Amino acid sequence: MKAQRTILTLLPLMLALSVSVADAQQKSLTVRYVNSAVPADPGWSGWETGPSVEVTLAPQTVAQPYLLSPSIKRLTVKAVHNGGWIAFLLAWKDATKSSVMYTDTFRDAVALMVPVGKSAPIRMGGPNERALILHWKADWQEDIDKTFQDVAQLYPNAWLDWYPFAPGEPPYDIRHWTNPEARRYLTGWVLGNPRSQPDKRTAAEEQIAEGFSTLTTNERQSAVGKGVYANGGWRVVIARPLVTGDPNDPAWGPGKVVPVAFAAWDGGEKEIGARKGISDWITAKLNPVGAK
Amino acid sequence: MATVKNWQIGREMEYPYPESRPQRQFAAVFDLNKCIGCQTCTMACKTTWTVGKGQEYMQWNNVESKPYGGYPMGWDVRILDKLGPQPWEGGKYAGETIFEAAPTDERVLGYLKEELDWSHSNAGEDEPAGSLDTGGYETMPTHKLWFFYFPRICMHCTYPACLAACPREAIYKRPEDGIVLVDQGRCRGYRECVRACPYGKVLFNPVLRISQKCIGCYPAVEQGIQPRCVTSCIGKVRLMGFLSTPDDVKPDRPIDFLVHVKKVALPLYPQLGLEGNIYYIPPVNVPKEFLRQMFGPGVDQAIETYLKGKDDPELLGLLHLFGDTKEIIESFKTFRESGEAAGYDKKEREVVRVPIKEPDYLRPFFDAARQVYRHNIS
Repeated sequence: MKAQRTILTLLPLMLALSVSVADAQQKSLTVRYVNSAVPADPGWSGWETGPSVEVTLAPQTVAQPYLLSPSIKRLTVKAVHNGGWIAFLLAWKDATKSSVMYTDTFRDAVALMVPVGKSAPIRMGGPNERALILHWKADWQEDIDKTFQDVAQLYPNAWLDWYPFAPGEPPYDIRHWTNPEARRYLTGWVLGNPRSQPDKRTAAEEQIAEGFSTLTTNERQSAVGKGVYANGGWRVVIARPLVTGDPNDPAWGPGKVVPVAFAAWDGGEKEIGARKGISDWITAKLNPVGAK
Repeated sequence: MATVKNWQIGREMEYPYPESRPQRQFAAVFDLNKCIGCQTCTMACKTTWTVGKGQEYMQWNNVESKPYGGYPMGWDVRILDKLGPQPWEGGKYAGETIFEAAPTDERVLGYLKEELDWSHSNAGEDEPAGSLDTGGYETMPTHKLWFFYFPRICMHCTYPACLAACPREAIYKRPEDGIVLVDQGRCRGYRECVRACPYGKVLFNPVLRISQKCIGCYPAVEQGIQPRCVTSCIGKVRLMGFLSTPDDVKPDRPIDFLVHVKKVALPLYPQLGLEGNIYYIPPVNVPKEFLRQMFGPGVDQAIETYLKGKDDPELLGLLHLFGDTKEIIESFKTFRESGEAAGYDKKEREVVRVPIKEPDYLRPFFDAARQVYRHNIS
């Protein structure tokens, strides 16, 4: 039975690798130089021109839980830089917008990964081969576009008379829970977990990893992200200064070539964490400053 | 997968991480014959730990009625159904655990509980199984018409499925007491733990967007105090302490005595393979077939021993120490001469002493001194 399991385990892995290798051979992404600001906005007119690349997403079959059949099969990717900032436009079809996290629902998300050093394993980096991961989340976008998804937003018909120590009155907006007695019940917020913060600055989280299970929020947050859902699909921009002075800055810059990999999650299909579609490394070529 | 020893199923099994037992293991015994379903434990837990935002629906401690109740709904029958019929061979489990039966793409056999599953914690309350024919009557001890209250907290398992399933390694088991915790700073709300825990004891906080669970009242335990659900129990159903492995039994340790020496307290669904550390004295009125499925092959012996408890001064003495002190009882003694039982803390100080049998007082119907008649004296 054990031998059978091993073969079963390897099968999807082999399948995934064959797809990825074929993909890598044909894909490279030109990062166009633009002589303007690079806004984190999918509606920016600059996105209307320039080359794009179709990135195939393969099953994640290396770390359990696997995702044997990713819902999102491909991303359309464009990228620009202005010498100071780099921005990626990621677009894909998704019939359902998933942006609210009830106990049994998940949100849409997309991420890109760049090695911090010269290279890194595709498995979210490896020991001493760190990867920088920029991760956009639809629920954070919802927090920013509307308001933080507190109980009153999630369950408009819910009513609670009292939360101990909570200031104010029903529905006791979480953003007013500033006294330590009330905040002791808000574990994630108090511990600085970015997911639990009611006042989100942007919908992208900057993360670092040295292999599966090591994903950690980067101490310094420089990336910004914005996603818009329209016409049955998402258009998401993730942007970051090329150089921030952070030791986790990738070795990217005008005229340089860096590997970039992508992942996407369809919240409607309960994809989250390791349950994701992943690409292989794509070669991103940053045009020199001034290049047309 | 590593091979680890799980004494509850009498064999080795596969688990994602190597065996790593804590220095001491948080454990408790719940006597199901005494629970009256008053939910005082639930309220004690609720008002202590889950009164924050996103915790409105959470019951880290809950009391459901068996056979029909469940929080989350159907947690037991659903995982049993997924696992399918599985055999025991005597004291050894010959079937597959939820780690061994996991599909190729998962670490643990489980399922994602739906929002509605958490929305009916009182479903099935007080609903009995079976029926009595016209003119029928109950016989002791097993009833034809039966139900029982079933208090539950996190099992603080030796092999937690939540910990096994977390791809972020955000769940850890404390080496000092075996309490299992979700790192609230590291959790990303993937809910792999919610899927994996067969007991349904990890819950997602939709406001903070991270998972949360029973913390074993560790701030109290660190000070030698039993958890809130234990000390608040008005039925004196519960006793919390520490449990040794079967090869290192300390007979004067209360939980060791009940679990390993007398074997009156049994694991819950041991066939799932988690080696949970909340043990139950099975209810004597319930058909054995049902109990064997829940508590494994030790049911018949446990009930027999329990029913003979009145003739066993040590067992009777220890059962009288349930709910009589907030201190964690590290060791206990019974005194036949005085008819008392006593419990001792970590420093071997006596923290509680109770009579095993309350003295009887017979008062005459007519009180000559006060010139009154007594009636309905209790």
